[in-house]
Amino acid sequence: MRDPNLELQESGWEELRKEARKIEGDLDVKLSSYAKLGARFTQGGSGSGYVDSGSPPIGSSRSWKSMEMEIQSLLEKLLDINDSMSRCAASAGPATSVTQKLARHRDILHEFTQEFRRIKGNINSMREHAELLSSVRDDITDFKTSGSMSPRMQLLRERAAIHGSISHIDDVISQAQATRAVLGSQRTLFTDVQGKVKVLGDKFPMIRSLLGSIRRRRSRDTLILSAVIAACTLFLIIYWLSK
Amino acid sequence: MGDHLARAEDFENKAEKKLSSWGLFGSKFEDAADLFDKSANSYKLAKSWDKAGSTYIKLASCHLKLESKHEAAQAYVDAARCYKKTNINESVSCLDNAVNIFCEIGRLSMAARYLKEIAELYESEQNISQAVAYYEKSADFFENEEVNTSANQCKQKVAQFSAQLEQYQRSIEIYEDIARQSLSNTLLKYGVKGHLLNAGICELCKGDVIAITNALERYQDLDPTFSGTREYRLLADIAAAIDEEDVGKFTEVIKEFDSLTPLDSWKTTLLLRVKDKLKAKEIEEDDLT
Repeated sequence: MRDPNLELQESGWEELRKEARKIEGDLDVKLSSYAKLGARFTQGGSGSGYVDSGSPPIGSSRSWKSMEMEIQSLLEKLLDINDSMSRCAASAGPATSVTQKLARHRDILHEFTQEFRRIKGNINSMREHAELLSSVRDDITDFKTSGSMSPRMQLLRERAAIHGSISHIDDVISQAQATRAVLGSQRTLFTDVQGKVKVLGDKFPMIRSLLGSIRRRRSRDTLILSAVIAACTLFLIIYWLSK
Repeated sequence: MGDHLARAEDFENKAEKKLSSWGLFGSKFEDAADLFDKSANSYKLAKSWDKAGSTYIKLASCHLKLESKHEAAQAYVDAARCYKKTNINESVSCLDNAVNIFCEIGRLSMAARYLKEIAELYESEQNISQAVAYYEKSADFFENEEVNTSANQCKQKVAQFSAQLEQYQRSIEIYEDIARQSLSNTLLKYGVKGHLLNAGICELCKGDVIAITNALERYQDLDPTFSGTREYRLLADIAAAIDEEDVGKFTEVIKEFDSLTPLDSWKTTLLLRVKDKLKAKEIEEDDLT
């Protein structure tokens, strides 16, 4: 009776797992091409000239959008299959290898989701950057830019680099300050602990006698309880015999 | 790994049996807590994160019954670490419980740290409104404990995400406040122009030219050296372009700034909003003409 059911579950599990592996392979390929698409979009965006900057962003944007939706649907499908495998594993027996494989598939899904989110964020920021800087007057802007003085540009670029260094230094300083605050609080805590330990040491003889009293009281309670139980039992036996 | 899983289940069964039994001498919760701890550890070794998390939650319940609040909070934190790999919502609720317990026993700095951790979890899940709420709580607690550096870090996160949620006035107030604090610190005052630039960009997003002009004057009063910086020049030129409703000039100014100092994605997003609004206004004028 159970054999066909077990075989059915096993075949369902294997089929689901095969499909999961196929989708994982597809996702891997699509994520790679998605990342390459992002890189190509960047190069297209930085191209000069009116005609060149006109057509590639639109084409890249369209294929990028369709690729994104495709990956999204594949991720959702993989999530459904993982849920089905989880249900299948739960209904089947507690097999260790099944649990391990299920955990492995879940990890893979998690990694793909994180990767997709990261690439999507990158492409979004690149696209926004390109859109912000593009204009119908690119020719005029290029002309003006080429006409500016070279030494002044170099000085400004150097100044920007110095400002960048200052920002990094600020980050390091804030980290150092946070660490110093935490260490200060730790030192305060240890000082408190030291004080408490000293007080405890001073009172150690009292504590010892206190523990002795507690132990004696507990043993006395135990004796009293035992005596009461014995007395009641004896009384019950006598009553039963006399009746 | 199979051995760890079997051992973990064995410990858990023993602990459950201990809990359900009637203990005459000694505390059953203490013994169960010890067994739950061993069980959770074995589950972690077996990489069964869900079971490890649920076992840590049981451990926290035992510690709460024993009135050991610090141990209970620590168990919740461990549960959150396990759930972080599989279930974000459970992780957040465990950290929430830990924060509540730390508040009860007066450990506000630890509560602030874990509130920040919750905010980071929501940030990674792209739930910006919740991330803002928890960053704000965390900043409050850090300020209560006089840890101003961490509080300012959380506040900057609040300002950044508030701007993304189009709550520009809030962002402006936070950035200006941080700039004021930084001015009084000799180490941090060179970063003030960055904060003022962020505040200025938020003002631009509001689209009120008079407010922008007033803000720029206020920033000059705040920091006399700001008027000589390229950040001030960028804000002033953008304000002029908005006043004249000239998209070409706007783009030119930003392109010049970006050629030397590349704009990060946050600034790009906000300036793109300004440009879209300006473009829409220009189209309206063309229609009227």
